[in-house]
Amino acid sequence: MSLRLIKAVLAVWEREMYEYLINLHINALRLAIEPLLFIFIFGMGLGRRVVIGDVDYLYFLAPGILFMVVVNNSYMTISMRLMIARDWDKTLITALSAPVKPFEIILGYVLAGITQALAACTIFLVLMIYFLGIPFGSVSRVLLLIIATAAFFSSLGVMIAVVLDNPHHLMVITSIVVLPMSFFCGIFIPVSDLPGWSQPIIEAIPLTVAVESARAFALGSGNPGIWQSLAYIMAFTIAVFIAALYLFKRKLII
Amino acid sequence: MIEVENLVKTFGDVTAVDGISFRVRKGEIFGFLGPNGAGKTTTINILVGLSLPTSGTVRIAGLDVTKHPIEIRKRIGIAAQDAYFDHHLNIEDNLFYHGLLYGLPRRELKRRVDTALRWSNLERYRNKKFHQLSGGMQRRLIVARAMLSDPEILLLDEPTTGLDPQTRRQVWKFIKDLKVAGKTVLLTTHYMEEADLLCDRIAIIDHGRIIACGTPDELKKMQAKNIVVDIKLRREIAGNQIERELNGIPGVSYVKIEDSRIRIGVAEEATVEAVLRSVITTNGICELNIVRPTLDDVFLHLTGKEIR
Repeated sequence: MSLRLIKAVLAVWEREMYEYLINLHINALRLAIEPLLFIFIFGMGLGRRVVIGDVDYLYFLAPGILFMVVVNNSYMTISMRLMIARDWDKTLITALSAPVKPFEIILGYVLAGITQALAACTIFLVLMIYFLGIPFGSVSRVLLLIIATAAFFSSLGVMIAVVLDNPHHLMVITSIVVLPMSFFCGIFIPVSDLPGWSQPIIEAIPLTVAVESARAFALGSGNPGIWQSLAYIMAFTIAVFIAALYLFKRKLII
Repeated sequence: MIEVENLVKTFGDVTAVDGISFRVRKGEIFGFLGPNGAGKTTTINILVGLSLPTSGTVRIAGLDVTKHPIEIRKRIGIAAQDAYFDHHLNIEDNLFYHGLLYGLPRRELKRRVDTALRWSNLERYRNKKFHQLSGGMQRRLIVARAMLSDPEILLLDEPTTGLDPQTRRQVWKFIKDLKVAGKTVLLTTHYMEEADLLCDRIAIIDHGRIIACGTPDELKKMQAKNIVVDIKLRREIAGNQIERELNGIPGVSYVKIEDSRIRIGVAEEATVEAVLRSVITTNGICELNIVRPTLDDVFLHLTGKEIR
């Protein structure tokens, strides 16, 4: 890996992080309210009356919501930022006229998505572990899963933003693909409670693998094998990253 | 410094650039003069690697643009026609993060940002957002950003479009300073006066083809054998009839009518008499000038139309 490549990737990453930090108050508010609402309403409110297996619903729900935080901070943020950079302030054109390759631009955006997801998840984990006493098992293993999942969803965010020509369609894709994914990938209800025909499909989605692995670590229910889970998610990430790169070049370098 | 050979760029059925060839020498200001849609911006985009040629070769500093885009972009600064600035960041941060893409060390980059702000006379506005600047300031900032990496070559795409005459002159002074600083400049414009004043050489481009290339004087000399008759009539005229009449006279190469003024290019002196007879019989002449051709006349003669 050349020094130029590292500098180019870090330049894109730093710019995205700077933009994120100067709007931190807005980002924090947007990203904190939704997961905390789910925890308080579903976990601590309705969840008091629900037990999944022999586990309190709040304990079941928290690892799932953690990965909702990952999706919000990687897919949502990166797809929106990239679309703004391409269509609104058009700084993507400026970046492409500098000595930076499309691969490096996408990697910079993906790293920014991972960093933002890690920062938000760290705050969420601190709140859950120290204020609500919810166990998460090995935090280092959970962090590895967060990184891999954030890499997948950031790459997906880049791919979707590049493919779509209309910003309104981003909302539609989010509503019909990403939001249902959040509901069906084991975040709110166990995959085993879903219709039998849908279970193999749901189980194959990287988000499900991440949620179920993190939940198993948190509840101490079985040993899902961290490296197998990570390898599975990273395989999807690489595939989506390559697709994003191909589409990026095809759409932007005409 | 820039060598373009038989460059073609098509978008589906549309040919934006149709087999153009030109060379830009080190240290000169080379102008691309043509109307909107002539293929100027497409050519600039190919030079910087934002667009790929359909066929032909483009070499910058001896390097092929399709094979060495990164090396070439290190040597090029581009001031695009549209302002691509991050609306959330102030202009100092915009310059800093753009410079970071060139891999400049931080301390050096901060020094260059200060220099760019000073050079563009925008030091006092460093904390302003791009949209808070006036049109002239924005243009100066766009060129200053292109200068951040201290490139050998500057591509200025329509640098004064939409500016008032006074601000345009300020930007011209700014561009002349680039030549003094030893930069090679490729400038696109659809303003005749701008091309005439700034450029060492000009390529006139229309419908994706270069139809003439040379120094402003060379281009005007191409028209030297032609005579331009500039007539002011006593009253405004409806253009169509007199235009048809004049175009029917053998030796008339073009007719341009604006309110009560007619500008007619004629190939030989003998034609002038016929032209005057035609105009006098139907309209009174208030003022008559036989003038040297301008670049505007060159363009009218070559393309049969005005740049708008």
